[in-house]
Amino acid sequence: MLSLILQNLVNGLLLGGLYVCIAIGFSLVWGVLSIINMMHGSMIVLGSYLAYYAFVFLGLSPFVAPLFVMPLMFALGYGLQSGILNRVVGKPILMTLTLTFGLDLILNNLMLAGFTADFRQVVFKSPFDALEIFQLIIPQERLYATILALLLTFLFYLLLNKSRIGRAIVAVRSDRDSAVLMGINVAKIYAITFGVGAAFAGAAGALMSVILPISPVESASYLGKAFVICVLGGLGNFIGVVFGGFALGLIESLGVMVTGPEHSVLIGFVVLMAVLAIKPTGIAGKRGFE
Amino acid sequence: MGSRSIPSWAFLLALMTIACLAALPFALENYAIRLATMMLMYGVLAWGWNIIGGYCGYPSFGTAAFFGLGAYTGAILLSQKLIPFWLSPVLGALACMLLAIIIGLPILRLRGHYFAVASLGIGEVLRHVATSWTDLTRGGMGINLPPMLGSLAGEARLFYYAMLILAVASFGATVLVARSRLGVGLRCIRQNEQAANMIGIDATRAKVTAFALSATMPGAAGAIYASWIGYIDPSDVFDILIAIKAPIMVLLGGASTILGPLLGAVAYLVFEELVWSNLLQFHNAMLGIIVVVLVLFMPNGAIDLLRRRARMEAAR
Amino acid sequence: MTALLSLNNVSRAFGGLRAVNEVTLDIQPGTILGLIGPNGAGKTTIVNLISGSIRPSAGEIWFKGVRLDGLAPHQVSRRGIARTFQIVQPFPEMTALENVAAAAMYAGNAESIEAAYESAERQLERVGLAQCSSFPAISLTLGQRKRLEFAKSLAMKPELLMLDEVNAGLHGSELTETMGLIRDLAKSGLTIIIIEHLMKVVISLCHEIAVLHHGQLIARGQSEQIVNDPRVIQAYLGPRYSQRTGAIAG
Repeated sequence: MLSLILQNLVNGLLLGGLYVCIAIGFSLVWGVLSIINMMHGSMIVLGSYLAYYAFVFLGLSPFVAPLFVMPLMFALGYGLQSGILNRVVGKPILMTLTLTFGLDLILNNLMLAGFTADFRQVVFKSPFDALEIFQLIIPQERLYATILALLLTFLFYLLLNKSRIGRAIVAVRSDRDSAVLMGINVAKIYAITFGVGAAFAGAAGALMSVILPISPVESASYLGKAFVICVLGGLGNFIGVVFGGFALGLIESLGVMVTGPEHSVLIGFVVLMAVLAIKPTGIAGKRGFE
Repeated sequence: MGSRSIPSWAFLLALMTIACLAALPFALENYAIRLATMMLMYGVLAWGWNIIGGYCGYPSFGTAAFFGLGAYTGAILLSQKLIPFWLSPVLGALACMLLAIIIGLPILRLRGHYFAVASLGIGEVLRHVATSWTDLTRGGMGINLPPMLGSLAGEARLFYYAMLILAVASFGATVLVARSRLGVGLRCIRQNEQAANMIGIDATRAKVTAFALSATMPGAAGAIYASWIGYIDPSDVFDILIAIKAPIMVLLGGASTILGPLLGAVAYLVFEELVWSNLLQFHNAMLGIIVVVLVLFMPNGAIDLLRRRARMEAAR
Repeated sequence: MTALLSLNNVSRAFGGLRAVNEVTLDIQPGTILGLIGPNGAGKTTIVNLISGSIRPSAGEIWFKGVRLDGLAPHQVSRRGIARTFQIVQPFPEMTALENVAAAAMYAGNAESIEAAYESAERQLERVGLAQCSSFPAISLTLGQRKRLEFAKSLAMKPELLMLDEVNAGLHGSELTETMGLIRDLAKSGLTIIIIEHLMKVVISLCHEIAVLHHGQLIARGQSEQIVNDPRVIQAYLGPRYSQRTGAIAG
């Protein structure tokens, strides 16, 4: 029994690392632009597809896929924000939500039409052996994916805190009007922010392609997870997202011990409702993105 | 503000419209009657959403949750032959009202995004429950309801009239809310909730009332839908698209107005029939394009657009 | 005479900061009380405590013999307490008339919507905004919006009215009119607490003055007393002003 719990604990931690990467871009966009990006799930799936097809047609390992997925997704995100979303920043929530929802309908439909709903899976020619440590089974590809995900998350942290662009983004979030007065091109920063969000979504998807089956029908569940993670951890808060990601990973892995794997979505939402009821600002709740 | 009594021409117009709608089935064949029934249903969903999302300003994505709950309430009770047909929308509405009150109290404390997504979550949870609780709902296999009347024409007319009654009731409820103290209170809450509290409005009570009222309409509609279509399953009646269509229709026609939801519902249905029946594979993408165009170019809906045009013309 | 409003040892802390520190204050009906003190002294916090927007960390607030603290803002409004905001808070999409009518039909307990609108028309007359009644609230000037707040408060049929910097941004005839209105209201029996920075307003309007400093009540009494109180003069009015008032009183 103990070993079962420990195994699920380890599974939860491995999953958690990936979940952090899933949510980090979503939290950034929400915190800085006050936009819930309903396309986030589809962007993750798109990243998965890009990695998958690069693997199938070019033989590129999905582990290096983020290198090209991220710039592509950044461009997509930047374009969407510049062209469309910048026109609704600051408008009522209903507008921004339905707009991104509508865009997601288009994106998702295009993916369905292009790739079909059939589940794809990255299948390595020589599969990795699973590591066995203290009777705990750790699949190698999961381990590497999680490590890479955490590396990317760290990269994100550096970007936000150490780079000029990152500081500009934080400035815009804290006080938009002052940022304008300081000569920051807010519209461009918004576009960059959304682009970064898309890039990290795509990267997360690329890494997830190693582990989970890929299909456009999975978009909604990724979006749901990203949302739950942000609420759990508190919005716009880097540590919060890390906390939330691991928390959700653990809750799901340990929770399915009780309820069975088909209920993992339900667990997530029940936790979400509970947190919203008790502490709407999330466990580490803060507003500025630091 | 002017006179507050409803002008007699408006009364007459409404009565005439209802009379025409009531006479409609005798002039149309079954397919058109079904289309009209769908239009009325969309109107009901839109009117329902308008109360919490339009007047009160809380962007609810719960329409699918209530539609589905109403559908399942009706379907389960009818398939066990526990109630007569006419009671199913009543009970569907009641179940939704209760759920809205229970869930509303906690989630209406949330603002903006949190409320929106929480309301979306209700539907997802209910869908999941409906899929898993197979003893009650037969899960993914869905529930079948046999036809009640012998003839197709008879069935078409029955459900048309059922939906028409519901639509008239929804319209009436909207008029009552819009012209009542509650309507004023909701508008105040939408514009400045803190100030609303300061002038004596019990915002929590008003919001929960609005949420509960707005839940009854999709609830009743769902119950009628279950009998009308004769088969429901979780992904059909809890479809997230229902939750997005309601606000879209209201946005299209004009939120916080009495006729806006109906106009939007009609316009939406016209689009759906004309455009999409030809583009099955890109159905969702077309909806997405409509949404994008709507939000970017017509955020206040058609009524507002027409009013502004009229004002600009008058100013020339 | 029993006090209309009593604050008993009321404190309110925000984290480590005591915004209001053990304030005890009684107000008799019909008084115009001026609440003065520098920014951050706790004046608006006291108004927020009375109106129910926030709860005291300690102490009690009594109004007409009933405990007030712990009630929600809408309940406080319905008991006869109205307030204006420093940063005006109208309902932007509604007209001036609709704004006031909303207040009348809720806290003002109007019997019907028609009665609420009638009351609203009267209040707008009273504050001199009758000609703006059908303008949307966002189109009004700052001075007009302040008077709209006034009208809304009056429509609530309050026994206690709290005015938070209602004169800020007004000058000349607008100021005189508002002051006249406040005086008339007090004469008709309304109790008024007025937070003000303009000393001439405070001295000419208020029967009594309460002085706050760092959340504490440091002085309370008749206007002439307070103005000539050396502690108060030293801390808040400054040496130049004390010379001027010395000249007027003398």
